[in-house]
Amino acid sequence: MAEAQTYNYKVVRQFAVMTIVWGIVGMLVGVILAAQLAWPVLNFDIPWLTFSRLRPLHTNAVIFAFGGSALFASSYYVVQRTCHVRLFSDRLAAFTFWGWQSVIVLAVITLPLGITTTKEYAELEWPIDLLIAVVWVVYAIVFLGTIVKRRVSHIYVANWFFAAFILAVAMLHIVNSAALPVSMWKSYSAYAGVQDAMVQWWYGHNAVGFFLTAGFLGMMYYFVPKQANRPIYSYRLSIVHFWALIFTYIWAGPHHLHYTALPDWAQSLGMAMSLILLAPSWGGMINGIMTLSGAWEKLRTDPVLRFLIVSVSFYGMSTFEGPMMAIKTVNALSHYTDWTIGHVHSGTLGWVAMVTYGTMYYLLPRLFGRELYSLKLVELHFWIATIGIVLYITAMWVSGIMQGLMWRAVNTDGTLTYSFVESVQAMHPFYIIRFLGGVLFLSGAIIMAYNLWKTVAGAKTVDAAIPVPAH
Amino acid sequence: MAKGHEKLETNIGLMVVLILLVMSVGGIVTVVPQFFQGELTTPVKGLTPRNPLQLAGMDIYIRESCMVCHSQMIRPFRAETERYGHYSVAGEFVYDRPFQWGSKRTGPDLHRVGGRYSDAWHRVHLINPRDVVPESVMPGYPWLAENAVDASDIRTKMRVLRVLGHPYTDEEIEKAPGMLEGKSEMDAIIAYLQNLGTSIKTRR
Amino acid sequence: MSLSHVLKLFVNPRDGWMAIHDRGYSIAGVVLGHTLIFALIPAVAGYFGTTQVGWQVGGGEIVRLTSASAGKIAVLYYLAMLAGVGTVGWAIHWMGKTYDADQPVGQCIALASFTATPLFLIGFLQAYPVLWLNLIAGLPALAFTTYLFYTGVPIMMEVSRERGFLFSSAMLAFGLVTLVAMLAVTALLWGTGFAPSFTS
Repeated sequence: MAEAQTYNYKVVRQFAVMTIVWGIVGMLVGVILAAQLAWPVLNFDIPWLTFSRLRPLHTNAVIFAFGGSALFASSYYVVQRTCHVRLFSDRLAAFTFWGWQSVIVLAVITLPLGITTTKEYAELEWPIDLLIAVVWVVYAIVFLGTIVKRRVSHIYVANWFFAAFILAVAMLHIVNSAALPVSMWKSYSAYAGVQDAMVQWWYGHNAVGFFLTAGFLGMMYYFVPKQANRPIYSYRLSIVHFWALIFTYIWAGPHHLHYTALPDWAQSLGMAMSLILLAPSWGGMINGIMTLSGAWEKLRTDPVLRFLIVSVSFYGMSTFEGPMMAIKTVNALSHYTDWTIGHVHSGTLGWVAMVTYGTMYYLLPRLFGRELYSLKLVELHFWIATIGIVLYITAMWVSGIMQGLMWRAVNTDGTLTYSFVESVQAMHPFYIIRFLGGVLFLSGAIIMAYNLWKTVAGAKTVDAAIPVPAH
Repeated sequence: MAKGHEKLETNIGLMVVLILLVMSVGGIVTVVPQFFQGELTTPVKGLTPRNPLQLAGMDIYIRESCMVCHSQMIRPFRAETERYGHYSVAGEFVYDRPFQWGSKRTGPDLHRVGGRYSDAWHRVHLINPRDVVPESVMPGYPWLAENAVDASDIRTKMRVLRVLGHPYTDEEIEKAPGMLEGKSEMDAIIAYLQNLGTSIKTRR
Repeated sequence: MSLSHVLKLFVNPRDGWMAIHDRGYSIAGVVLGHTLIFALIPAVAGYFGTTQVGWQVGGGEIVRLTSASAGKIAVLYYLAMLAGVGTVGWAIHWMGKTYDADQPVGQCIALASFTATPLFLIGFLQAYPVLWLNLIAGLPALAFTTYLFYTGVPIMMEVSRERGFLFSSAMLAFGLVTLVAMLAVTALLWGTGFAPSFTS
């Protein structure tokens, strides 16, 4: 059988296009949610549109549909290019595409219907969980199989991160989703109470740590040096921070459970490891920023590079904020408040979305053999997105700290100063500002979709030839 | 170190094994012991598994994703126990599958909402929150009053929970559909809410 | 006193920065002549606004802080501003080497301190704690501060505009991290004896 002469760009194209589509869907739901908090009449007394049922749709869409498609696209692209081989199996890769899209469509249908486990970022009920497990195992086979087939002896650093992300998600998903079904669309968790909380946040924090961090670091480690046209700043740093990161992240889960009924020892361990996690996290940031710093003369003229550098900066900020919020005393104020939401969005908008945008602007023209339609629109997108993020975060910082303070405020005679609903009232202007921030961010995504559509429309798809490896 | 890592970078099998080993440590150390700590698995005095109406109510709470805005975990702080009652104790949650501690308080904590408000108050509030709390941002859930509770799967639910360790008797399971007859989803969720946190009565 | 430089900075930022650059401030010079003075504005206004004027949430009662707790907080607030300027100034100096912009520490702290001037000045509004007013005034002040920074870096650090742009962006990241550290330290201090105490 003749060795494949071209890369499989088809599945990469499919996932890349869906990344843009799901990004807009997921962010639109987010904007609706933001509007509902500012103007609750927008729930319309319709069961499938309540804030409570739509929120998990938003989180699943942006993490798994948008983020997931971006990771599939980039990991399939990167593993082929760095290994100088076509994907291990075209048919299995196609299965992962259609399988993953089916998972998303099922989520879109079941979540508004109230079919949910309520476990955060694991809300989908058991039949869909089984589908996810099957798709994921096949994904591991395709990705790792491609590495086995490689024609380059060294495994490039981006692939270590992708491999860790794939393996971790398999482990986390299978353990956390354990449940006993009652009917086709209802099950009870295998875990109860405190144990369930521990397992859930072992999963939940590492959904962030491995899906949204390790996976996207894999993306960063390829596309930043490519766009900057410079090698990664420090090979040694990448080794050290990779192993330290995948070891330490797993322990951080209990920082979601400070001062709850979780045992004290688990909380303290979680806090300590969360603080230690700062170092390996910043290893990634330093490698990214120092690599980009060498390309300073391109920064003014290359808007794609701007997305990448800002994303790494926000990555640095969020991975600093996280350990700060994991300190018990700080957490006593921040837990349950909008500060947590602000933190989440500085990471997801500032890091995850921005690095995805940079990657998609790099990838899509190449996958369709075209030049980007408009650099000016990329620049416009950049500024709108950045302003949107700043509005969002600052609104949530102020409202979150305000909430925390109002809840704990006591008068000199020891009575509570504020009723709960007074804190809700105080939130209103910030909910509006956050809504505006979200609208801006969504608008940026729509501008990107337009730009990329104009770029690829009418293009004849061509798969790139596999070059002979340099060594 | 670089030489040792060289070995990993050229052998995907070794790399995969090592990644899995490294990632497993944290879970084994932090998660596993908690399945064996007595006070985490023993119910508090007076706590019994939910009766069929309360159980149906719990599943409606889950269906509507109430935990998205309401926590069920009172922390041991002065201001918090002043506002919500005794701090939450591990043994109160042994029958919650999955746990409903929540991670956000867009609305107040509900762990000890049992007995705080009358059934009538809940009825009005759930249909349109702004009728009793004008500044509320909570959605309305009027269909709860219109829908009858689904009794068709209550026995299966209780049997599944019994497999998972909840001590339901054969008699309770047998009688369960009868208990739900003529009840609306509103009745069920109110029964669930009125039972929350009632096993600890002292204010602390 | 740095008043003439501040005025020049507001009227024509480029000329203002060039004048500040040529002056060649020492650490003591900028701290004594600018930072210590201007940082007083938000601290004193904040103390006054929270203890004498108070604020309202919705249509509720007017809430104030007790003089004792407000006093402690105002002092810490003042120190935090000094620490902020100092940290950012030091970081500019430290990062300068990476961008071939090795300038003396005094020059870097001057960059940080003069950049913060709009924020220091708008701080007087804290004497009247009304949310919408503070926002409407605060946001343009923040925008102008950012503009001053991007204009100031190439001039004060003697680098090209392209290099300056990248340097400024990297510093912005550092600034964000510093801000988050302040948030965390604030929450920590509030939990350990420096909490606000309310009265009506």
